[in-house]
Amino acid sequence: MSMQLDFSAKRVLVTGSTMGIGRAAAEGFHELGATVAINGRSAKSVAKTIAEMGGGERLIAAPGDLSKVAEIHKVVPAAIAALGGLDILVNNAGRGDEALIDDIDEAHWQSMLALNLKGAFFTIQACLPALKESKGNIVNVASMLGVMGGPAGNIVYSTTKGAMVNMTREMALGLARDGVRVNNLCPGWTDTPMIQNENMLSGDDALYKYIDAECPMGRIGEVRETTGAILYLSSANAGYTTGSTLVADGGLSSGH
Amino acid sequence: MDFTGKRILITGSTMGIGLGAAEMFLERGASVAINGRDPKTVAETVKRLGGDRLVEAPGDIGSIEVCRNVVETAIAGLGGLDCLVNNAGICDLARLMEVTEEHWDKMMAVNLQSAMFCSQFALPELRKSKGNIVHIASISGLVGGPSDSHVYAITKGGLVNMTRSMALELAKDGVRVNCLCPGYIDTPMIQAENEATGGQVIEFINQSAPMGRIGGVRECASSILYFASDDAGYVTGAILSNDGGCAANASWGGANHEDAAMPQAH
Repeated sequence: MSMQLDFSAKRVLVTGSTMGIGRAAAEGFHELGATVAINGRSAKSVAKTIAEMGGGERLIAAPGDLSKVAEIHKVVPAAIAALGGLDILVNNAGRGDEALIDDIDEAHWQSMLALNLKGAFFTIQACLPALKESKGNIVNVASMLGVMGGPAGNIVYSTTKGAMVNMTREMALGLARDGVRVNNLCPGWTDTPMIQNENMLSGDDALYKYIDAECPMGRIGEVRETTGAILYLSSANAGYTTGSTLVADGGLSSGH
Repeated sequence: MDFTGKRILITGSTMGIGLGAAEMFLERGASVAINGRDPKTVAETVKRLGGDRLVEAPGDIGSIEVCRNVVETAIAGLGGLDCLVNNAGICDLARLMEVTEEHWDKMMAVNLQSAMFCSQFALPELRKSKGNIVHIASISGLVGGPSDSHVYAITKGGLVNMTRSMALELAKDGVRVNCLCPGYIDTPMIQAENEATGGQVIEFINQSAPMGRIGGVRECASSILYFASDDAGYVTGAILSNDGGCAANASWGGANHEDAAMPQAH
């Protein structure tokens, strides 16, 4: 059996793919032959991403705000039509706003749940007919904070990610006999533009130093390492893997 | 376990596990605020339970404002708060492709949002009393289950992990936060389903649960009392199954596809 990854002729939708983990995953699929639909809230940044990835007919623009169900019902069918079907959905769009427990208000709660959880659920629902037809699969990008508690300020974030981890189990069972696999990837600290920016604001590389000290492997994860996990879960090599939660966190959720 | 002088609010305590916990707290000396959607049912429950250590705190905790009212009413009536039990929940069913935004929003509001905001509103008092919070999730927060309760499972999975982050954030305040995951428990809800299926539901549970039987309300509620008690003084962020072994077997009993599903009344 070959571990060689090949996504030729595969049709992939990666939500939130104009930057960070989603962007890297989209690039990974694209390099390995897939046709990829790029999604982000802004049509401009989607177009820019596609241009930076070299353009061509294997890149599809699918801009839209997936925190709104009505918009999901427009964006997702259009993306699937442009791709000519769907083999892989990577549910990656999400936000990580922080709030201490006394400061959590309805607006914070609703915005976090709308994108991280409700958006993910209804995106899956909208993709299911196509995925059942292709015997495709879904990778939900949760977080290590879906399997453990987080630092202060992350109650709502970890609630949405814990719910996503369990949503994956539930859906994996419900879709197992349709031949549709559903798995979780839970990244830990990953060197995305978001973290790079936070590190810069922290001054003197304080965030990087904190991560290096806290993480058992002594370093932040690279984006390409997250991509590797997403490509694996969505490949035929993971053909018997469903409902699983893969943590790519340098060992942090095992204890630190 | 002695709860003399302790002040407890249990959401959704007019029936089932919430009611069982209310009875047991009362027997051990606590004062208890009873909550349910219908003020009349709350009043009847308080009357039936009897005594002067009861507070009526009715309201549908599906809205944040009502969460605030319920918690404030309970705190005013009890004269403070030592323990909040976030027990209220609903289990409306919908198959994956039939889940509507309305179904989603309702389930999230009652099962997940209420736990968040009741906890927040209770916190000033819980910090004073070095009290604790018990979230009631479900075995379905730990393992996948029947194919028509997706959104229920998502809310309960959220609750399980909310417990961990909330416990960490409140650890330094001396406020403990724990989570109970009941399996099949002999509540009026299950009894009604059992009757509607001519006894098939209990038969299914007896065959599928590792312990070969349904759980009693009191033997489930006892886990809530444990978490709430000083015996659990060093326990926070814990997730406890009370399910006759179902979670250990990662199974509700072969209920994940239609051939093996639990009988349902139609």
